Amino acid sequence: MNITIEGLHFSYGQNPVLEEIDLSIQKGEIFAIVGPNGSGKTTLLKNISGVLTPDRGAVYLNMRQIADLSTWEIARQLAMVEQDREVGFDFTVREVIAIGRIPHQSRFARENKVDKERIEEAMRVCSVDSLANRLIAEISGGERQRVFLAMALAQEPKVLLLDEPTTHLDINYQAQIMEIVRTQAIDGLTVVMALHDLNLVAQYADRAAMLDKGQLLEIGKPDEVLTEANIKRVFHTDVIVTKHPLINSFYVMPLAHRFDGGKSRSSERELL
Amino acid sequence: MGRTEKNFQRQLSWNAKKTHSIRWIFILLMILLAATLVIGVVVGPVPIPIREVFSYLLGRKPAVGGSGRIQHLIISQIRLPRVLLGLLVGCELAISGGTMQGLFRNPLASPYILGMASGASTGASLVILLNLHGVAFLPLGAFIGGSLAVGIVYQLARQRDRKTSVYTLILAGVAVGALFSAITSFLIFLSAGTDRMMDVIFWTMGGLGRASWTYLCVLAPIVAVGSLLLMAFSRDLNALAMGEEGAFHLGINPEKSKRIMLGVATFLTSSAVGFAGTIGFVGLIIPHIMRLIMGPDHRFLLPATAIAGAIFLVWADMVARTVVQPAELPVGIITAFLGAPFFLYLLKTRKVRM
Repeated sequence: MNITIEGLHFSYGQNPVLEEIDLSIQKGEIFAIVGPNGSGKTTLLKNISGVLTPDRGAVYLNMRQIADLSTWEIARQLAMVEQDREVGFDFTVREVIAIGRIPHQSRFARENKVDKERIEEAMRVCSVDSLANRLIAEISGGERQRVFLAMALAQEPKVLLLDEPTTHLDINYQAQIMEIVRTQAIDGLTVVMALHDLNLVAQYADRAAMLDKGQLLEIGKPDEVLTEANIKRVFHTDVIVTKHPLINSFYVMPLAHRFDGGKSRSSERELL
Repeated sequence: MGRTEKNFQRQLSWNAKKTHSIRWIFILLMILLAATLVIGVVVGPVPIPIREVFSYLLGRKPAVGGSGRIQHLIISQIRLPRVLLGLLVGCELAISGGTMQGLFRNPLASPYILGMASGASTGASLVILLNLHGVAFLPLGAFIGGSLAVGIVYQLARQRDRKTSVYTLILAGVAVGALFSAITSFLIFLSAGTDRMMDVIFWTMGGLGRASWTYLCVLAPIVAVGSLLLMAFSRDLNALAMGEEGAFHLGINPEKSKRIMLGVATFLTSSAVGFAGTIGFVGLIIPHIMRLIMGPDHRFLLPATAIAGAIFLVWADMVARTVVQPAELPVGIITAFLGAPFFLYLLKTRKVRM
């Protein structure tokens, strides 16, 4: 499913958060949104998901404006894993994933054969089958994130939105999550995610967009977006971007202690 | 390693048993419900043989001359209405409590959380103190008072974007509840020394003593429709457990679901309060206990809670009307005495589910 964003503006009260966003994301693409804290990544995701309604402009899923779709219709095509989701009550892992089937069930329906298959497949894809009967509150952060991913996949979405899916996760879990996402994208799932970790963007994203104070600074392939100049401009940090000698990707390395709010300590920066 | 492994195994087997046992829990609850209906009629100051209860329930005429006629009269005019009222009130308190806990994602929520009980008490006190007689006035007063309190709370908690925050709702509930309690206390103070003061106080403690077939005819359809509606929204509660945004992404309109469920639960609770006074603990403890036993999936939890609440209140009432014969204890005291220790026991022994 393609996503098109046209002239999107959004503000919380008087504060403009997103301005003049134009984006088009293709089916099967892994699209990363990068930018510093407060640059509007989450707000952009929430505008795409329909949780927030843009002040101006529109978001289209396959040419249909999302504002015209019912909550129900959206949920059958789009799944989202929010940041720091907390589950009320002690549901088991399997129960949580089964809740992902709600958009495909009628009000009084019990779990049918299709539901069971989808749930089990999602658990297998995300390697959480062995956790099925554990309580969601008892498992580790990395496991929980995989459970939420499985829940989203059980929803059979055509678009998957992920808000910082790898934050707080150990490095092995980060890679696990990204590998799962990559496999799904190859099968045609459109993935849009906000990501902190620029190296994950470099390795896994097909394209990326860099947000700076609510405006799109650059859209393109990761190596076009994550340049030393762009990163310096948006994050106010000096980095080295180099091709990695072993993998077919580049990586971003910050230069320690060169943080600079853009004003002070400029003499130190010149030393560099 | 060994320990986590063992925990894991235990968890696994426990949960596997759980999935299979949900059906058995329901079968057991239905058996208990039937038994409760019969035992509730048998137990009382005048003992009634089980044989007579069945003969009445099966519609047989009592034998001429024996004590059968009086016994049938006691059954039809006193015991049975009282047991049935207990079933209905227990059912609606428990299912409302389960719904409120789900809505607020908080196992400490009760059906009275939005100031309902205080508002209803104020309404009922006014009716009693104004000396309005008639079957309908007391329930009506309580109902109006309770709904008024919840209405005020909801309006207060509504923000400009027409959304309601759970925290604002709870806080507004506490404040409005306190205000109505103050009004009730003031009313009681005004009536100090009169008989009516005792009436008000007893009403506040709750009881099923006013049961009658007229009450039942009004209450039964309310409970049936309300409970079915709440059960129809049980999957919305499951979705809301993922947070409001989580629910939105599952195709649920969280604001709409919340409004409907709050409305129905309030309606059920206020009708319970109207007919039986404020009976505490049922709506708090029964959903909680059932969640400990069968897990938080509201599609099973709500119906089980409704049946368990009905059973529990009838048993509590049986205790209330037998321990200090010929006097009757307010049933609220018993629900707390029975419920609280059992609840604590479960909390201590089974930390698995909450």
